[in-house]
This record gives sequence, structure tokens and C-alpha cells, in this order.
Amino acid sequence: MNNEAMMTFEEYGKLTVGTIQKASVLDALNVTRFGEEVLGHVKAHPGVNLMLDFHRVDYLSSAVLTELLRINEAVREAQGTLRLCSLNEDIRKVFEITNLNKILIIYDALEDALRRYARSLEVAAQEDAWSHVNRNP
Amino acid sequence: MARRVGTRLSITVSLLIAATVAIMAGTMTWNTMATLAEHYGPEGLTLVKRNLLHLGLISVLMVVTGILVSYYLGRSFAQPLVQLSDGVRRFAQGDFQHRVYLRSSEEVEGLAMAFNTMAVALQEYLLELEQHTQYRERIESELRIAAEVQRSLLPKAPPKIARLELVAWSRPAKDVGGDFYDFLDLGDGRLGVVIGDATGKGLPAALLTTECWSIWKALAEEVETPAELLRRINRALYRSVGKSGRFITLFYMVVDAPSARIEYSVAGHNPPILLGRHDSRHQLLRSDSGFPLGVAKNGEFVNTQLPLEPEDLVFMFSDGLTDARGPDERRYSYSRMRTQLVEGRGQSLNDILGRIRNDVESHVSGRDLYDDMTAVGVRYIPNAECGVPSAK
Repeated sequence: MNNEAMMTFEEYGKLTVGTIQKASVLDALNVTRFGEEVLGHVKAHPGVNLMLDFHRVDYLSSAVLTELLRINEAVREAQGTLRLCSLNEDIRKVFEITNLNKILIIYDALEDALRRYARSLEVAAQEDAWSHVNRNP
Repeated sequence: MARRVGTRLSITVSLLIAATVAIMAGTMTWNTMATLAEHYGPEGLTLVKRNLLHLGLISVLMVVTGILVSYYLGRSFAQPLVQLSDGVRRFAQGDFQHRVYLRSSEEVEGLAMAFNTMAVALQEYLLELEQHTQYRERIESELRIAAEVQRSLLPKAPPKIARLELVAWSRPAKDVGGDFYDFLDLGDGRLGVVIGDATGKGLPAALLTTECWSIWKALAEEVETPAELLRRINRALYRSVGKSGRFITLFYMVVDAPSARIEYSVAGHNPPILLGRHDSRHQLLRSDSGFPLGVAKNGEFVNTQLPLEPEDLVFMFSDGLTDARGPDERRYSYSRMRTQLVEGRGQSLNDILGRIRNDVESHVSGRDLYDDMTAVGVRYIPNAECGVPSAK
């Protein structure tokens, strides 16, 4: 079995980009490995703001949607956030049909995604600060 | 064979040694005669001639002794190798209990020990392999039984309902599948049709499918609308699968033949196609809301109603059908399936499904399936008396 990591994780300021490197098809055969590597990173970095970059992935099976929901839950429990980016048209359609695009936030290409993700975190931080002020005037 | 080689080896070694001894004896005799002749002159030569017979006899005796000694030495050298070779042969013939015990040089004894160690390791490995095979056979047998149970849950044939032509087909990617479909005669010319697809495949998907299916069967008759039915199935499934991320996509439709209407609700399932008699009537039965079942605790689902026109066909399918891959990794695709539906419009539903099955099977070309494939068709024919049996 190939022991080479399937994912790489790179930090961009407050954001971490997890890129799927070794698979153009994500399905039942490699989903366990994918889940282990991402969940391992989430566990080791509580509060991580993680963006999963799918630009190398052509196809993903429904088993991967299950894994993404699990990862989303784990990130949320670890006080972090999760975003997905660079999904091809077919994969985007899967998210639209299943309406899971209303649970998992999806951005376009990485560069734009990083900007929007950083901005959304700033807005969330400001909202948090205001709600704190409102609670303790 | 090994014995023959061993004997040949012994004889060869013996002859070599005998030849050496004969040459040595001859040389010694010749040297002795030459020395006597040199020291004693003609008298010595006479003495040599007189004792030539004795010297010849001594030489022959030496050669014979040499042959016997060398044959014995050759045998003792070859015998352990013969024993080892015999051990390997018996092991190769399946006698895994056989071991080689011999007394010989340190190297040959080491070789025998290595053989015995290898024999023990191989015997243990074979035992483990046998146990593993037995375990695998048991699991496969249980999976076959599970697949039979699951197949027995699928309707043998669609119910016969006036004005409706029905057809259905399912092919799991593994022994047991994550797809299911079912029909329910709701009385008064009304029919409930469901198609579902659990995440993943194999046993985990099949268990989720069976749970969802059982809840659907239990509630379908008593719940008023498709959306309400999905809401209640979702609540029950969320309790069991919770935050595991596992889910099932589902499309449920009630066809009211007497009033020529359908009412449906979608839980994240890929939208079925509605195809009319003419090209202009073509739409997808999609919904902008409704998560797959088991994902959101308080999932809400939308009810949609549509009037039916004569010969309207609603074709439901799982994404395993449109995503089925050929040897070149290309997917069968929605457009290819739709082409078959449109081109077969004038045929019976059975024949249309047959076209799609043949087309997808030829696309897959015997390759293993990634996902289960399922298709269900319902056509409204106001003048028909009853439905058409499903494809075998």
C-alpha cells in the first residue's frame, strides 16, 4: 500500500488549505484515507479554519459526501470552520441536487476563495465583538 | 529421481578416486622396478621379474580397495543431499508434516535445519490461509443470504393499477445494495412509488436502506402527503444515524390516476424526468429544498403537485445509472439515458427500460460497477386497463 500522504496542508495566515493531491477519483476505496488525514489535521489543530481544495478531483462518490458531513461536524465541535473550493461542474451539481450546498459552504477557485473566506471570518469576528458589547453594555 | 542422481554421483566419485589410486599404484610399481634395476643391475632386474606377479597383485588389490573406499565415501557425501532432495519432493507433494533429520557436515546439517524451519513456517502460513479462507467463505455466504433477503423485499412485479404502466429494475454494485424502490397500491386508483439511494454501497448502505424502507412501508398508507411522510422518515432516521454523516436520498411520488395528477416530494435525490408525448413536454421533477434523509434533525420537505397528460412518463433513477463508468472512465451520462427515453417513446415501458439496460451494459462493458443502478418508470395511459409487468 502506498504510504505517501493523500493530502497536503498549507497555512495562509489564519487559514489552512487542505489539497487533495493523490486522487482524481474520491470514492469508497480511498474515502477512509481521506477522512483519516483530514480529521487527523483537525484534531491536531483545534479551531482550524480549513478550506478543502478539490481542484485535482474529477469525481466523488456519495460516500465522500458522508465523510465531508462528518468532517464538518468535527470541525464545528473543535470551534473551527470548513469551506470547500475548486469543485468541477459535475461535483457542484451533486451538492446542488442533494442540497448539501446549504450545509457546506462552497467557493470557486482558490484565490478568490481565500479572499472570501478571510473576509467572512473578519465579519464573523466583528459580529461576535458587537454581540459581546450588546450583551455587556 | 533423487536416488538415481545420488547413485550416479557416488559412482562418478568412486571411479575418479579409483583412477587416481590406479595411477598412483602404477607409478609406485614402475618407480620401484626402476630403483631396483638401477641399484642391483641385472640381478635386480631378475628379482623384479620374479616378483612382478606379486607387485601386480598388490597394485590390483590397492585399486579394488580404493574403489570400495571411494564408493563408501561418495555415498556418505551424496546420501544427505538425497535425503534433503527427497524431503523437498515430499513437501511439494503436500506432505507438510515431513521433516529432514540427518547427520552430516555442519553445512549440510545447517541446510536441513533451514529446510525444517521453512517447513514449519509454511505449515503455519497454510493453516492461517485455510482459516482465513473459511472465514471469508462464511462472510460471503452470509452476504449472499443478506442479498437474497434484500431481493425478496423488492416487489416481484409492480401492482396492476388501471391507467398506469409500470416498470422497475435494480442492479447492485455488490451482493447487497444501497438502492431500493417500491410500489404501494393506496386504493382508489392511487399509487405510491418510491426510489431511494443510501450513501456508499455494500452492507452498511444496505442496512440503512432496509431501515428507511421499513419505515416507509410502515407509514406510507397512513401519512397524508409525500412531504409529511419524508419529514417523519427523516426524524426517525436522524435518531439512528445522527451525526455519522450517513444519509439516504429519496424521491416519493403519489400518482392519482383517476384525477390525472402526481404529488411528490424530494429528499436530495437526483430529479426524475417527466417526458410527454411531444418534445416540448419535458421537465425535471426537482426541488430546491429537502436535505437527504438523516442529515438534518428538523429537515423540512416540499410538496409539489403536477397534472398529468396522456402518455406522460415519469422516469426515476439512481445516480449509479448515469454515473456508470466505461473502460475509458467516461460516465454513461444523463443525456445518453435521455436519448434512449426519447427514442423509445413509442415502445412499451418494458422495451424502453430494456434499451437503457442494454445501452448502459454495453457502455460498462463488463467492468465492475462503482455504484448500484436502479430505474423505475411510470406512464399514464388513460385508456389502459392495467399496468405492464416489470422487466425480469
